[in-house]
Amino acid sequence: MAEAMITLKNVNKSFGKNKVLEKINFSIRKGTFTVILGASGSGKTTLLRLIAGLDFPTGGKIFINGKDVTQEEASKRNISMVFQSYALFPHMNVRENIVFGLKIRKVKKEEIEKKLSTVTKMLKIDNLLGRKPSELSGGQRQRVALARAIISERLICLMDEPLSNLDAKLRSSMRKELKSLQEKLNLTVIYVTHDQIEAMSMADEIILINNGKIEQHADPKTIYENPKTIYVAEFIGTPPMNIFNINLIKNSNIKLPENAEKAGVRPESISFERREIKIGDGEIVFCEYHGSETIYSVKVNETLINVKSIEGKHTIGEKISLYCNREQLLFFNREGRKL
Amino acid sequence: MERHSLYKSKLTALMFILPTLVILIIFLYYPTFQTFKMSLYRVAFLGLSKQFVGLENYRYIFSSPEYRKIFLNTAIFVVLSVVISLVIGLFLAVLANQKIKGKTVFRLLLIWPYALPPAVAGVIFLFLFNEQSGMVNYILKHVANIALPWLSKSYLAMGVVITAFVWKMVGYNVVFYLAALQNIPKDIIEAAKVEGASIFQTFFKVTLPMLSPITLFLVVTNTIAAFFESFTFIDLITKGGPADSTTVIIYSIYRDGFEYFKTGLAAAESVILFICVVILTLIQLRVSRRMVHYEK
Repeated sequence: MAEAMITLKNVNKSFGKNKVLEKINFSIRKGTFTVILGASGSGKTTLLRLIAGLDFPTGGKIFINGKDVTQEEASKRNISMVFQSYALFPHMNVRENIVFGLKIRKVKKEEIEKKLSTVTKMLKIDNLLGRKPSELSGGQRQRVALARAIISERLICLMDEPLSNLDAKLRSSMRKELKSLQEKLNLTVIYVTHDQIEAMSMADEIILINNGKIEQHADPKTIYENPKTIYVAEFIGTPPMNIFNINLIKNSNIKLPENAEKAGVRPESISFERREIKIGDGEIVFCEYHGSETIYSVKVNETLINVKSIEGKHTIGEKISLYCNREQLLFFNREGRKL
Repeated sequence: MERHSLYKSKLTALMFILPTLVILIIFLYYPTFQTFKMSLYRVAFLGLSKQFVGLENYRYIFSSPEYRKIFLNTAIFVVLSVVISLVIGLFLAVLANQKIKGKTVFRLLLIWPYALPPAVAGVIFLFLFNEQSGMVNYILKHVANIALPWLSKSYLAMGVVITAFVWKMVGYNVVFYLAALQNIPKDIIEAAKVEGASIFQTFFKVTLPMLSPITLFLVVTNTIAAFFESFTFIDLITKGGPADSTTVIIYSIYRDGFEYFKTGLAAAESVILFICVVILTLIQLRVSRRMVHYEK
């Protein structure tokens, strides 16, 4: 296992009486792309700010590269950061923005020029050097912010929802670019987002946060296929995993684990054709046609179940039976933990 | 190009601006014009008779050493008070912008002096710096056993009027700087920190340039205030003395016009002051094109 680049031990953070983060423990390996995923208000940005040194924890310790940096200022932590708003200096042109950190550290002029030309060529902004941020498009600002973050070759790069201000098309191309940039430079990236698609497509590891606590810390495949809790199961996937009461399938002659209260199945695992387990008979109440697939909402008794199917021929009002295979069913106990 | 007009006829539009226009003409444009005209005359006591003298008033002002000294005093007063009040104002605004307990109280206290009428402020300073019974000399005597001739030594007297003016003006600058500081996005300051900038580097390389529009505005308004509002302080504290060492042009205009009744001369000084202020403001605006960054 590669060495731990960032380690958090029992980190707490409260603002007044309001506990934002509780007992956060994790370790991030060097050169990995870690996504901190969570709904708004879950504490994910606060967590990033603690790692950056822009806020300080009320308890616990933070280590970067083995060194305790819990009380160290942001300027001493040797990290770089891309802000959601980009936070470009409006009075400086693109060149001055990018080299700001290098100049502060009194790097030699020739070296600055060399790095500047490499980075700006890599990000295709070498033709914008003389412009002010106000004269750039959103995508260009994003690239300048990235250039500023990577030029000083600090090993850790923190990103706070960097793609959320871009339009959908640009966002998807930037996702690929960010990921390949991270691999090329062997950066340790911590990336905060509420967008599960960003998380699934870019992350080596996902830390899913809910209400200031870590729900699950795992790679995207595990998070998707093996969610630890109902919260995780329902957070990931479009549409998310169907969770229903165990009673719905109690009579279908299969052995259910003890203490099972709820069962979950992914929409794409449900079939209209006969499989090992019958979930129930229902009526299609809604369909959403996506081209290559259609999402049907099927009402089984009082439960609404989403089905993702490549068949587009069914219509609203149709009576239909739902099936799935045994290994595609997940079971959860009363507390919402997976069994 | 299509004309966008809110009103059907020009007459309606004109009617709306007429009240303002009438007031401006009566109280501003007409007196200004009269001042320009008057500056070309030699006017006898109470304006009983007047004689056209062309540019004689101006020639007299520019060739007299007495007036040269007044111009110099004005320059010293304006430059020092503007620079000092801006620097102190910014410094206090930065302090008041920190996350501290009771910051609202501090902010209120800082703004207070500006709310005082200049006459009250002037009297306060007159009492403070009174050579025999003033608080300042009282303290100095007890602490260091010295008493300074605050109002009878020329450079000390200038210092006192500048202090009074700065004290009064600082509140105004604090309000504007505080507002501007709060408008700087927190992200940008944090970005500078993450990039490794110290508090001072962040202030001089990021905060200060981002305050440039408000600084320009304050330089212009403070300069104009220093030219005109200095009158109250000088009239109350030093009466232009000792030996004319604190006589600035606005005070000289008042004295020539209403004490010595040299109305023509006073008018000529007013015209010179007017031109000075216009030129200075133009220079400040011109310089600002290079120095000031406006957020779009």
